Amino acid sequence: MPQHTDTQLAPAAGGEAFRAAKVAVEASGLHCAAGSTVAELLAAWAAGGKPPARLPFASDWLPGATAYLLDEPNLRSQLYDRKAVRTLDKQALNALAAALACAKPLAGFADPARVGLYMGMPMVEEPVPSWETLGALGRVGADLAAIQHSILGDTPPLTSLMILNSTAASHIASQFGVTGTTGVFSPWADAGLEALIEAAWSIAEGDNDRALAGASAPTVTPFLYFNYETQGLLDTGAGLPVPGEGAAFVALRPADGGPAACLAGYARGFEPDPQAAQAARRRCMEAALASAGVAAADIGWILFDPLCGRAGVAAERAAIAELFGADAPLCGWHEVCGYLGPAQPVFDVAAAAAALLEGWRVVENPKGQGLERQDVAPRHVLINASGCRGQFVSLVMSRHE
Amino acid sequence: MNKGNRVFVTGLGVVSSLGLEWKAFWAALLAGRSGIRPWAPEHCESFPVKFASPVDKEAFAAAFAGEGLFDEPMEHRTAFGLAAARSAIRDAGFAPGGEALRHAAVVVGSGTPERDPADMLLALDAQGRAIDRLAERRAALNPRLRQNNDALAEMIGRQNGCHGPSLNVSMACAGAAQAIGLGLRMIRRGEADLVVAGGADSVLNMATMAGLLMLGAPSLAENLGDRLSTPFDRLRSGFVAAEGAGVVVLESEASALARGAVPYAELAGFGCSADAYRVTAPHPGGLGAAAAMRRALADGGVEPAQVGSINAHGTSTPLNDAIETAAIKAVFADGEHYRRLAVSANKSQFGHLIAASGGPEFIATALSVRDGLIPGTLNLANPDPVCDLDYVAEGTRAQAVEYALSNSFGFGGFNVSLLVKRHA
Repeated sequence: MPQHTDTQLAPAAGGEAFRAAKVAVEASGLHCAAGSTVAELLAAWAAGGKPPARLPFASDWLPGATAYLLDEPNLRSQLYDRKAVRTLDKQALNALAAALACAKPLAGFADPARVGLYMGMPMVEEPVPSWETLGALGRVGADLAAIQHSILGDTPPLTSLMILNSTAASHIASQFGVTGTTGVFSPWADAGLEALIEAAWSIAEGDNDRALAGASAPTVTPFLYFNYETQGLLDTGAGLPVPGEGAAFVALRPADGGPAACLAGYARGFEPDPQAAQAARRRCMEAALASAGVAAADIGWILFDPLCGRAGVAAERAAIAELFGADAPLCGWHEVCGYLGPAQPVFDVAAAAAALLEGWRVVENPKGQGLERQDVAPRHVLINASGCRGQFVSLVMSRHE
Repeated sequence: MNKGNRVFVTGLGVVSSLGLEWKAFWAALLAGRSGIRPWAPEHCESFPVKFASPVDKEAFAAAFAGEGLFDEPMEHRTAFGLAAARSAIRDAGFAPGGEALRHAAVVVGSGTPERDPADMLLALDAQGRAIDRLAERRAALNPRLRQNNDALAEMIGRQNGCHGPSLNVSMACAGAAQAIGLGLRMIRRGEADLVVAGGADSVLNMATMAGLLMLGAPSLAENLGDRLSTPFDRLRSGFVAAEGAGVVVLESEASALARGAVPYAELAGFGCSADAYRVTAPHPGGLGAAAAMRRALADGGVEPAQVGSINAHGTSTPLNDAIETAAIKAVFADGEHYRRLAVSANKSQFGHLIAASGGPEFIATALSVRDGLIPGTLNLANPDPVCDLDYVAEGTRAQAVEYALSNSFGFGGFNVSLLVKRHA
């Protein structure tokens, strides 16, 4: 039976089978303003990071808005046909770049039908109809017949696939030839952890021998900000979120006996009432710990969600403090690469895997602002991610010998 | 092999052109009625796509007026999904907001958001695109159209008091079926006793349909009228776009038995795959589709020879129907079992609900094995020589079936197959 708590919210527990499968992170590939490896992320942080750029479209509407922007990856020439590349938007290209960076372990792997692909994808924040079509519409005025003619004449042929966020997964499956089980979730940070959890389950349940799991941050466009505004994310009391562009992937496999960073347990739940968010998040974390078979005191590092949807980061921090104490070893990477949406928790998992194997952590400095590196080897790491509307997920990673 | 708790289907909710609850929907399917009718986008009478399968909006609003589901701005797809979910929950015998639903999970599939050119035209000024202009005018943006893909899952949870996991699946036309499959796995794992699963979609607006038209996906053969959706026929020329939702309540055997629920059917297996071929076309050999079916069978511990019928994806597009036929023949090749399969395509009657399509079709499959009645494939007058299976072209067929598959294949090569078992 599920491990329900006795209160209103009952995040479901992953259970013994998930833990026993010992699904490990074999490799990671990152693509963000701070670099493409965990080491580069650490180096960027150690160097104080570089400030985010002012948005090219910032104006009176978004005074002072900044973001960690990326140049579009130059990957189109690697793809198999020129027609298909028109279905790739920037966030899909970023995802492909991260997948390419972590897929070495899959090279030469015997059976692509036993390699799964799981992704968390934001929505495609582009105007529909496209800018091209809108521009044409602007020229034809208010005549309905002319508008219709223009829409039909100026809509790019593959627009429907480009605005379909799952198209990124299609490209990545094609790029690597992987035909195992698959899943795509959207649109917020929780979707990234859902992808990881389901990828791990696909190995635990025998569907796949290996899996690629990853996510992309949304392309920073004006429409992303309209979306954030609609969701109440521009008014969290913590200032404007600083989005980052980027993507992250990890390759998963069963642990093979040596030291390994494994996905050990998880819980996920939903609480739409902001007033109940703190308690609900606490219960979710407790259920994840129970699922992993560890206690709060065993957790050596916590990677929290820096945005946390409408409930805000305050509820997340308060819940963590309640469960782990006021000096909990917390960290959020957004200070060096921005808020990465669904990709955020995948970055966290990549960093946690490295920390578990290499024996370090980076935590908020309790005496002031910023982060500090500590040569403390965590045995267990907690990673949180949230949706914008009350969804939340907690994942525990553990070092196995 | 089946690895855990058995999973039963105990509640059904449908919103489609054929009905606003499952009994009307099922009766219309069995009667061979078509939900396809003349259609045009608002203010756009000369749009090239002339037929669709829309939900009767007035009847829909009236049918759910007392439920308090639509008190905030929402897209059509969300409204359809909320109504179907509420229907499924009530049909399963649960009270919305009741204690029994407190730990229920919600897993639904969604497609692309609804957009309106008039909305986006606010971003233009005399010089072209102008974000500042849009920002100034954003109060005029239609709040109904400012939703994200997770809105449906969140609102189902909020409106019905479901506090378990809340997941949104984005896998194109395979979304709803994938959501149902994930629901099966969550119950088997012991992660939930109840899962509200399915999908909703509406592409019947000018912007989305223009995009689909550019892909060459919808049929333009208006001379066929309401016989436009012709799966497996030589004259098939594209799908007929539809809108609506299909949501089910999945329940663990222990939960269903404890409360004396009478299941419609058992969800016995789930298989999915990626084509890893082209974004713009399915694998020509149907390898991905075949893999999904094989995995669903393996997941349920069932041999191909035990399957009696398949509710095909059957889009009425030239590529899908031939490739799906080839995939079925590959999976059921032993002893040429494919010759004994009854293969039907519900899309011949209610069109293609895109991301939602797997929902109503799974429901039809569950009812089919329950009642021993297989809805026919309408409009199959000129069978394509490469589509040479038994497509139940004569209309509804009485045939007891122990196991049936429901197939859903999505743009980009996402394939899902669900294995349904008759509940004794």
